[in-house]
Amino acid sequence: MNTRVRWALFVAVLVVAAVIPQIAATGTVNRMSEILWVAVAALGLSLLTGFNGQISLGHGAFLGLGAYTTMILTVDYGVPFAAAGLVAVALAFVVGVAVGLPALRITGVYLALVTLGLATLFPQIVVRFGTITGGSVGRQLLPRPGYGDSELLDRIGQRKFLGQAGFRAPAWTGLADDQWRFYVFLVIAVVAFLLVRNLTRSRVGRGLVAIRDNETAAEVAGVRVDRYKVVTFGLSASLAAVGGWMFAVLNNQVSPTSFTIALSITLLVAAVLGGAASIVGPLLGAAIVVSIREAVPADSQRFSQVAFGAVLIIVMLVAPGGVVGLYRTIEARLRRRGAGGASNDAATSTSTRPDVPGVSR
Amino acid sequence: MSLLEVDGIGVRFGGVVALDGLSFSIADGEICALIGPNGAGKTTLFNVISRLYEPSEGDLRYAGEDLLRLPAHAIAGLGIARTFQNLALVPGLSVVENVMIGAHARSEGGFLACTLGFPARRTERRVRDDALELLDGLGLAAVADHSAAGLPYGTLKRIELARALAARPRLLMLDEPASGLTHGEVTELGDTIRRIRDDHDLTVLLVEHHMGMVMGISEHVVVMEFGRKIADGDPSSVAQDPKVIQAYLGTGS
Ligand SMILES: Nc1ncnc2c1ncn2[C@@H]1O[C@H](COP(=O)(O)OP(=O)(O)OP(=O)(O)O)[C@@H](O)[C@H]1O
Ligand SMILES: [Mg+2]
Repeated sequence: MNTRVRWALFVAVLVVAAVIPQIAATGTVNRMSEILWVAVAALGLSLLTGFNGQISLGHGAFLGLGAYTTMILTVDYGVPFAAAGLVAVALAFVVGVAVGLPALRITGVYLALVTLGLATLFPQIVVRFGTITGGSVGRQLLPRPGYGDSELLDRIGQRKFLGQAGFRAPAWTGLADDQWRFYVFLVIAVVAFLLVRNLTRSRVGRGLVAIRDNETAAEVAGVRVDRYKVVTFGLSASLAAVGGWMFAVLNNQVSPTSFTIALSITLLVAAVLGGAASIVGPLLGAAIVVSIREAVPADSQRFSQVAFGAVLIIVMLVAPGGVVGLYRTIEARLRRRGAGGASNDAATSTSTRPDVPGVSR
Repeated sequence: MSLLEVDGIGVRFGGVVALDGLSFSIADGEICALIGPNGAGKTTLFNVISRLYEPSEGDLRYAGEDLLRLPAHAIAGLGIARTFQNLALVPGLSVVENVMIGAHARSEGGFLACTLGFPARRTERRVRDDALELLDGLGLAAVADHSAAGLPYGTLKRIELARALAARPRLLMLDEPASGLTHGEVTELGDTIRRIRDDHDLTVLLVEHHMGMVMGISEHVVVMEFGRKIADGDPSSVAQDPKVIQAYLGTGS
């Protein structure tokens, strides 16, 4: 696909995405919002794992950090949503860097295990600091002032939540809350995707891929390998926290059960399924993952985890480049056929290394 | 005037002494060949200069700078570029992007600038144009957008050379550039190295087993065996040195 076709497609998708909330039911709009938060978090994971080769099985924790930060700041301190989001992003960056520093000394399977530990630890930390986090009950925003069982809230000491409005559409927009929320998410997601696209196509982006494929070559060329890896970890965590902000805003509540290892796996599946080292990959992956979860009845959601696990294994074996990788392979084949078998062996651009699918270009 | 001074460098790997008090210097602008039997320590010296291996003793001065004080990623910025004996390309990038990686140290733009995109764009174009020109000069223009994986060995070696040149080095270190090339290609490569040195005004440190090429293009030859220097001089005098003849006959290579 040449650049012009890509941009045309991009605009077309945007227009469709902008129109659907005007005609679709609230449930559909919220589902689209869900795709967007999964996509932004998976984008962060794609940057880290797909482009830079650092694996993380713990991104659900960064997402949870973003969601809890948002919820606590807005509910307990009356901080506006936008400001809470900025704090969440900055905090996740710092924590991401703190995790990224020891990650310099451990790689591959060991890094996978350490981040897996992070994912399992997060819900426990939340419960441990119950006075701030609401413990295993979690925290919630009430959609309208005065709504809810105030007596019950008094009893569990969450009285102060009362009177906190959720993320409401400003009157001037004339939009319903779910529509407004989706449009805000859409803008955030577009900005996030464009910024990451800039980064991956730049001098720094080449450095990240070089580190992934050949750290020595990168270092000898002058890439500050350690700094790049740590900053990427921070940025990746920040993107997950943006997803977490969106999660809190969409669901009006957070609880430790939302940010278990299952979420980390879901994000990884979304990133890998779409194509880990690509920009549109996480969006496609998020759409597929949310659709799978939607297709599974609510009372057997455990099954969707099994399905994700199976999908992950199959993708790794059959199409390590994910949907985007498959597309590239097919496109390259067609082009070669079109060129009358000219020996332009572009199919090799889809690497077969599972963690390193072909890079987006 | 010497550009690089290797002064009593020693490197140990466990019980193996890879470099044993190695000293020599390279004059500015010359093509200096570093030869010796397999395992003599030639690649180890490259890795010391690249700051990938920490020497246990010795000094390393480059253009008045103490290299051993610097981290590995700072070396390229001083104008030292190299190729690798066993290729070290980036398969996930296209050929031209691999060459652009070589220009990393002399282009700017950190995470913020690159994410915002605006300031980086102009440099990006310049670096890409430079890379394409280098590829063109080495007869590689046709594969510029190809993935760096799955090309013939000789092509990959030339891509590595282009990547090293993209750094606009003052000292170019080539680790067995002729290995795996056909006879015709070797002759051509020798001419290329000479031309590059003349055009770009640089100094070359060449590790090579191909004696025809070494004797044909270098002005200075340093011979190593078991991590030590056994001869140092111009090509003809080194070739007649009994110790050199002994070293080569003795190991059968
Ligand atoms: N990373 C390493 N770990 C352990 N031993 C090493 C390492 N690198 C080199 N050596 C040893 O140091 C010695 C010198 O190796 P080096 O690769 O420098 O030789 P060389 O002169 O480049 O040989 P060749 O012509 O075969 O490339 C050898 O005995 C080698 O086994
Ligand atoms: Mg060697």
